[in-house]
Amino acid sequence: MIILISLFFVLGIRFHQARIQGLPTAISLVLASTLNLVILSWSFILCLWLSFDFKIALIILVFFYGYLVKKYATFKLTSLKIPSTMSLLACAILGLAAIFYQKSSIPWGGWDAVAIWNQHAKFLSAGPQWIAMFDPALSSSHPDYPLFLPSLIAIAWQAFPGLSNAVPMILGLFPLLGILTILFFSMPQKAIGIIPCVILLVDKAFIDQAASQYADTWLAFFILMGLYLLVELPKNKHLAWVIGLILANCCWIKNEGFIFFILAGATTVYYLFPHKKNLLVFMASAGILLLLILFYKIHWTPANDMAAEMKGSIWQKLKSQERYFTLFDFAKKSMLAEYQMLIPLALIGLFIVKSFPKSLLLPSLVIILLFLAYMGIYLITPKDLSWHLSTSFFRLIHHLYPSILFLYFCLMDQHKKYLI
Amino acid sequence: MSKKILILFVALLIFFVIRNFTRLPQKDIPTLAIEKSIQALKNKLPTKGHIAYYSNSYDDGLYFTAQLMLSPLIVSKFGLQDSVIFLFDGSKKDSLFSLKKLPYRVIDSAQHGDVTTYLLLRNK
Repeated sequence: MIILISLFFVLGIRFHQARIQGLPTAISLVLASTLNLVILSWSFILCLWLSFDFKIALIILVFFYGYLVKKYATFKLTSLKIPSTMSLLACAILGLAAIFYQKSSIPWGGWDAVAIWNQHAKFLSAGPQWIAMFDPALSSSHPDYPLFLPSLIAIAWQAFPGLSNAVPMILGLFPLLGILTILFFSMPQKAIGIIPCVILLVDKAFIDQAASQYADTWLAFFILMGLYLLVELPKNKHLAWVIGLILANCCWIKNEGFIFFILAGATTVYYLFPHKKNLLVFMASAGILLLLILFYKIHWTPANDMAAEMKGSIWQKLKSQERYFTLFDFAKKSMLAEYQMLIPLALIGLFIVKSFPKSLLLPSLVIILLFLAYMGIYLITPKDLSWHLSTSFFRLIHHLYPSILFLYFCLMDQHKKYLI
Repeated sequence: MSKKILILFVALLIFFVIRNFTRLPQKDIPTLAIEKSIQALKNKLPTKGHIAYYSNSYDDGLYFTAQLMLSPLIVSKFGLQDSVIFLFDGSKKDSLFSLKKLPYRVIDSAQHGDVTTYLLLRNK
């Protein structure tokens, strides 16, 4: 199994990297690895649904990748070269991030990792018994939640038997390193890319959240990738299939991913509208995953707890001034306590930014609308508003934080003559 | 010269990251006591279906940890099944359920740290 998965990754990364052209090598490597994780997750889930042996599916996938690599990509071992100083610096940042992550990490993770993510993974790794996770007795473990993270953990447990708690800990590091790699290498001026990475590295709350083994850092990572691809899309329209898979897979990580998918998907359609062929490719790649997710939601899962509890009038809640004050007050206090860095950054931005580049306009709008949509959900939540805010507000901001830094430093990059 | 130092620094970081990951799973945390005490009884439990869960403590964390450790068995909170897992957390002063007052008999128990796990069967 370990050999099969290793072959799957080596061939898959080679194939996807050959298809993802026009991006920095490190970012295309992150994207190619992530696409492999998406394909692996879905292959595993489809095998469970169809009661098909996952090992046989892996063998088929390895042969299929082998054929694709032979046809579309070259595969040769390159000689070892000493990496550039910038690459070494990036490695040092990633290494430090891993050390900080490990300091905050605990076996089986935080509350939600124990009650939801790792628990679902245990059910998935139990073979045909996996559907026991939808038992009404387990309704408090949110059985309607998507299965991207649990499926990856379950696959790793099949590869390394013993259900070790090291598996979710090691997997949880991937999105953190992915976020830092994209932030580092996405800026045309590499020196600028160091700043957002350092901001995240010294942010204990961010690292703690990443180390909690929740799916939130995965969603933050996918939102960042989606946004980066949106910025790149006007120059690289051949990436339509990648953006389709990345955006649609957000819905397979957490239910909140649906909102990002709708906003970023609409922006992608707008960008690709004059290019019908690319638009069709985007719709096909996103559509396949979306159909599978809808099937999962309709066929397997019980109703979402919030949707099921949504009784009283939404209109009454929207008209309640008190809810707006509670929300604003909590958001203000939370921002001042945990995201102080945003204030000096905003002030610096006000002085430096003279114009707003067109390429960043729509991606920025996506993030602003996503934030507003999150706040809108709080306004109409059937749960106690204060409790709901105190248990989830920081996680929703966690989804947006790397993307806000990415857009901010892209903007700074355009105004670098004022900085350097 | 600076590049060589950077390479050395990265190599050291990689070494520590790998070393830390080998040590992390044994980090002593409250759930470890539950995990170890449940593991000791696991092979005496049914392999399929539901098992009832009781505890002296109001802490839901104990229930979720027990559920995680016993999945894919379904641990029904305060259920009426014939097999029961009772978690007694000695660090808590709670008195939600008392082992003696439940209509079950103790089959086996295992202790780790403050947590004792009892396997109970319904009195016939």
